[in-house]
Amino acid sequence: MAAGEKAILFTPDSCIGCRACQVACHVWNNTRPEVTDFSPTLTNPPDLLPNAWMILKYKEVGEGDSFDWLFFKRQCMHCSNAPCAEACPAGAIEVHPEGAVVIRQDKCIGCRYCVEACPYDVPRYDPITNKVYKCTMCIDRLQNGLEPACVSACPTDALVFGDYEELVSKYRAAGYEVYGDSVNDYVGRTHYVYATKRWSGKLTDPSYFGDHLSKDPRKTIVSFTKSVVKPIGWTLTGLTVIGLLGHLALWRSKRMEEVKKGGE
Amino acid sequence: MEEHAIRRRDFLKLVGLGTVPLLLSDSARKVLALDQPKRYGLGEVGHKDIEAAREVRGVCAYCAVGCGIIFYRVGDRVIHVEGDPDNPINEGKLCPKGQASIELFGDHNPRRLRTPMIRVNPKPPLEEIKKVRSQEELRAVLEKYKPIWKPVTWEDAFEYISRRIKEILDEVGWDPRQSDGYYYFGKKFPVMIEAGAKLTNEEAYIIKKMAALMGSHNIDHDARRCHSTTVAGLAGTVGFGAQTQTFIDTQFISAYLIFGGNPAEAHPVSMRHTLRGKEKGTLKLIVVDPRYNRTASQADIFAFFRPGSDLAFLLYILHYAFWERNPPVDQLDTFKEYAQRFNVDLDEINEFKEIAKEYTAEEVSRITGIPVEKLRLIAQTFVENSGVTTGFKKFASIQWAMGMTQHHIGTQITRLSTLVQLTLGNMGFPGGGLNPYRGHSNVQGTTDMCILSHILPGYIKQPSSTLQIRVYQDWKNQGFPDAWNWEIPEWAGSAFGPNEKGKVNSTKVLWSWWFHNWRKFELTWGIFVGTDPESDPQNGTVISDIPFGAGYTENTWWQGALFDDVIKAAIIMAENPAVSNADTLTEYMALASLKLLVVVDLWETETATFADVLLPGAVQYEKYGSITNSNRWLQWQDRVVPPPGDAKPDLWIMLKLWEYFRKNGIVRLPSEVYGKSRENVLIKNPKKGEFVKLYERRVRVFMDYASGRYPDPDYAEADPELVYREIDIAVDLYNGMYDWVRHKILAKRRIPILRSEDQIDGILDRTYLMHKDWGWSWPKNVRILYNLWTLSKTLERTVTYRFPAGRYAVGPELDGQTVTITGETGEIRDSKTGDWRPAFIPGHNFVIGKFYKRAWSGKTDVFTGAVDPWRLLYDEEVVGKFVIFDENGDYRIVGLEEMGVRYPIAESFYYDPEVVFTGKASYKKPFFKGTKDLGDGRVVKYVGYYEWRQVKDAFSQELAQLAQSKGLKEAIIELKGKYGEWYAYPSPSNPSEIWAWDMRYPIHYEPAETICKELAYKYPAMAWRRAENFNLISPPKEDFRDLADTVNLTPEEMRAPEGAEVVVATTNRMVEHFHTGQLTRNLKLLAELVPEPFVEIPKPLADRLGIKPGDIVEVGNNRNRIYLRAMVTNRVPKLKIGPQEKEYFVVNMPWHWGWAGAHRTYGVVNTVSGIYMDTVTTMQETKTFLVYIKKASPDKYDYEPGEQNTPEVQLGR
Repeated sequence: MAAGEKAILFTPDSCIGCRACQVACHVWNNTRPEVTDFSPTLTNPPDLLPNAWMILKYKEVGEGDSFDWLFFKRQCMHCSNAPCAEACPAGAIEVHPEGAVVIRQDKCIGCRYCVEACPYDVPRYDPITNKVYKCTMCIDRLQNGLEPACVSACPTDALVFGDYEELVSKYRAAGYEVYGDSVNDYVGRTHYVYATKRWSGKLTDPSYFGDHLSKDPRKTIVSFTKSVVKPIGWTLTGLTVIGLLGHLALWRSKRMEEVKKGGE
Repeated sequence: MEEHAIRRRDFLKLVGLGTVPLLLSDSARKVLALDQPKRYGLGEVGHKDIEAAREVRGVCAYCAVGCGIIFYRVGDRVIHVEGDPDNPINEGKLCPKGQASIELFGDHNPRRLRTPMIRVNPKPPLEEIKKVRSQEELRAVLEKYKPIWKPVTWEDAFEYISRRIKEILDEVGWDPRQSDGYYYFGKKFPVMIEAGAKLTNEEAYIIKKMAALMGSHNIDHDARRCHSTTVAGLAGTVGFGAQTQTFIDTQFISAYLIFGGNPAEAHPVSMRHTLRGKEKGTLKLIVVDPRYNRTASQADIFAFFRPGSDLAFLLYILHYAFWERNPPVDQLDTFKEYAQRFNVDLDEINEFKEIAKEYTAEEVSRITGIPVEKLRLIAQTFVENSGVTTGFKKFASIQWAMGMTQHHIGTQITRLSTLVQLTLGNMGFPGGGLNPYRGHSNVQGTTDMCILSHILPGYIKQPSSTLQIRVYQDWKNQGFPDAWNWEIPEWAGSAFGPNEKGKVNSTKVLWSWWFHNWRKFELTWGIFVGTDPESDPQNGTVISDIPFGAGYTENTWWQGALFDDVIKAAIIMAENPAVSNADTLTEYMALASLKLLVVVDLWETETATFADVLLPGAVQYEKYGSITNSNRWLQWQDRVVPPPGDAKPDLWIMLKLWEYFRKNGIVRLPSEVYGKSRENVLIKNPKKGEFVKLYERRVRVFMDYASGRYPDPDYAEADPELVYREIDIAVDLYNGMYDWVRHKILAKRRIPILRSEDQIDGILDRTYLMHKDWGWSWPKNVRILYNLWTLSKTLERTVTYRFPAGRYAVGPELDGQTVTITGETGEIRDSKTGDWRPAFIPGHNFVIGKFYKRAWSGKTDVFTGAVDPWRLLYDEEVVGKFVIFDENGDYRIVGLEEMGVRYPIAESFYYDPEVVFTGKASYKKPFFKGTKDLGDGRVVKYVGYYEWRQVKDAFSQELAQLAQSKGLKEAIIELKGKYGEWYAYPSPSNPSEIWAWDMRYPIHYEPAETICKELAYKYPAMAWRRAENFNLISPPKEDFRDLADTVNLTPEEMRAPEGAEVVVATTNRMVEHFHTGQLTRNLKLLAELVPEPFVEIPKPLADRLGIKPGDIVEVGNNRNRIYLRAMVTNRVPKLKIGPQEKEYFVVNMPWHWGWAGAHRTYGVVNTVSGIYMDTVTTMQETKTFLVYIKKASPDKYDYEPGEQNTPEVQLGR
């Protein structure tokens, strides 16, 4: 693997659920805190928003002595195959050599193809700005020699940042089960990596973390070849939404066919 | 004042990525075939120009972990915040509150107060507040009297306040002329001052000094409500009431019992170090709590337990150690050796063993609800990882916070924790000890500076009788001797220790320490305490500028206002008792009764609802000053930006108030009224008896800190560095924090590297990551308290240190000697040379600081002749005069030079082995002593356990019988009346002698409000021994008799509505919020995470009551009823309790909400909590009380986000 590729590794084993990461994310990125309501689980806001690029999820499992309280960080996984980037007709989503998948706000046209393509349900569309937002892996910190804000904040090193291979092999060698370095053909590997010893075997178990960490993350709309769509995308920037939707429908049916063929 | 342009290299060192060009991954190449991805500037995504910013360093303003924090500011706007990577406490990390700090600044927060204001409309009247018994009623009254403010100038505000206070003082006839001298009774001052734990050390010191000089001890602060019982329990047992370990040191613990704390939420960054031990596999984390909290999620062993059963649980650990373990711990040689090191008497241990014997696993299981097997596992894990069982190689430690302290027997629980550690050999080592984590950024410092009603800065006793002043004058006349050289006059009696010179016990040492400190206050405050004439201490007129006695506490002052008619006004700075006080409706009555209430805060708080004057204060980051974290480290805060608008730092406000108080005749010192303007400093010739005059001292009160050195106008008028220096001189505990040789504030020291082995304490510093050159730690830069043996026992090595003959200001015991050092010594600057030398020899004991010898005992004043605070502080100048007597009584007076003294303000004390081994831990400590004559031929005699156990069952049975016929409340009133004391019963052999338990050892006491009657009879609450608690069930004043109806001691006494379930309630703090919520609800970043108030309800109970997640529920009792959201969860338990092992539920309520500011509600949780006070410190019992709970109609819930809610200001009036 190429040098320079980075990972953020989250281990619930060391997470104390304090949400320093969530606040740090707002502070660094200057995203407006949401005015929320009571959350019966503590998770708040309950899901990602255009202005909430990460959240910490809380989940109670079991009873009595087998009771567990899980804390789980949810945000863009920064896939190496980046289906969102491939789906973007405007070329607004860039995959950086560090592994960060970043939406360029100056190029985003609000078409939401990325939303459709993401198997982790991450990008969020803001109708007011007509743009899509998500975690940037703190690209403006990475490029300037800093750790991402959430990692920098984490008091217990449940979030660590480093060279991809080094980090993954270090945790594996220490007996951690790792999710992310080889997920599937749809996303490739993710640059947000999850590791656990304590919940070994439960990372992709839907009653534990599996409702976030799918074993086989995939959307029915599959990868979108940039070489084909990108020029079209560029010509589309000035066109109407209707035109866009039409294009989407066309593209979708075409891709479905391809998938069928590929499957044979 | 230190500030740097952003140092880019520092900013980069976090990761070491540098700017090395990155190679592209295959996938990236593919995607990037057409374009290079964009390069971003630092901060570009969030539109922050970090490159243009300057950085200012400080200490986080929330909890007391003491994390370093760096703010980035452009002009006066703060644009970013990061943790300080150099700070060894947080290593660059911050919790959510620290991260959100940026929103505290005025630029980010329109809600901050910006101008002084005086109220123009009526305040809520007492008569209307008195009737409130529900959230709806409270809301109706408070909305009717919502404050309307008129902006005024600071001058107008100060004039107004002083005029009103002067009127009140004139009304009560405030005067120091007593029948037997000139002094004030500190509890009679009609103005209560409450000053919060967010103040800097300098501010805390000044406010206590101001109160004392006004003649008042009616001053207190939130430490009363948070760790007062910790201080009392620990200090009374082992010397000092502070954390013995550091947060960093927790990684070396082998078994860490989290019992009454929740560090993952209340002190998140501390978990960084604790989890390192867990990660290494050397630390077992045991969490015992009424809630499965976020700390519990990290536990190796977790147990739910019933809040209020803490004593029983800890007693079982000792039961296991003494009675189940084989061999019992007291048969181990290590145990005997350790007991000897603390001078613990083995007979005392035997008496305590008898108590522990009764607390079997089965019995304790019935009290706590913890299953027997789990109890045993916990005790075994703790004991087998302790010092005495591992040859001092492994240690167990106990962490706590409010869960342990906030009980009416809180002092007993903290003391029992200390006894557990004393018994198991865990104290005084890195990796072992006691860890009370403190809650406010500077609550340790404000406690050390003693914004408290009963002690002076540095935990110094306040005088309480003219005899003490006379003995003190005589002590001065003896040349300010240490205990070893002090000859207590016969006429003083025996209360001060052995009269004979050279004979020493703890009492004598403590008195000489207190006297020594009174002298420091006299010199630095420019006051007089003594007799006139000085030469006749026995008959002269007593004059004391330090008031007598102890004042009201934060928890008793409401009785001072309502029952005793003493308190007529209050000044409340940086505190919000309208949300934080227990049984808050009583607090509202007291606040409503005041003729004048001045509130200084950042916002219009709930307390401000009752205020006449509201003054805008500054947040910690807008101040300069020193901050003491929970593990006693002093660090310095630099001003990031000035406070918004016309807001001012508290130090400025205090000194201005003083100026106006002086001008308006509010402060009249007894010495001024008497006309004592000079003190003759006399020393009695030991041979001839005549007096030698050493020098004459001007008595003129010193409060002059306008140095003009700071560029900021407010700080030019109130120089915190001058106050810092004064604290170093005046407060023994903090002596050494200023380097008089290099003129450096050691709190500003920021050296992140460890010491080398050849430096003082170098081996310990390197081995245990002590970071002794980061900031400064009291006492004498010692990092681990009571650390006498780590070198010799744990590391199996020692260090020697030589005192070259004649070089240092030490006595013959050390001069010219080589000593063996076995633990941490700390360091001090020597008076003669200015060199750093080890302070405590050979290691240090638990009484350090209080026990000392003086190099020039009997020869000179405490600072070898410091005479004038102006010259002392501004010029660092003293007039050094010594008197040297020869054997014939001839004498000569010599100067500093002749004595070889170069740094007279530095240290002339020494601590030799005799000093170190004189102290004795109070394994046994009777809180009540002697007898009390009932006046009817009967006498109450306070007795030990051997006597008490003979009558305790009879006492319980009589209580049970009475309670069954008339209820527990009436039974208590009757029984206390019958025997003239609570926990008292006639002696079996002599009915006219009534035995009362003297509380010498902790035993289990039920909470004042208990869910299980049988336990309430078997282990009655101790509350009723204290008058203020008895006042609750039997109010002393006619107007308030119906307060007794608000008490519900058992479920039967509660007036619960149909369909409600009575449960045990506890309260907590969450990581997302801080105390009364003002510092977090007003921050959008934190309100996003937890916006609304709620109660945690066990799932089975919710099912039974038909409550679904998010439903509105009514939580109430006889005091009040409130409406909260339901959080239905398995994180709060159902427990089997009592002889019948019946099942009871526990509910929990975070208490961060009130009606002021954003995210508001009138459902203040503390309106349902109880205010049963600790028998020693008056700590309130907020961690366990009874409530009923039922589903409520959603329209009862009055929460509103209220983002735009700002003070209502009336302009142009």
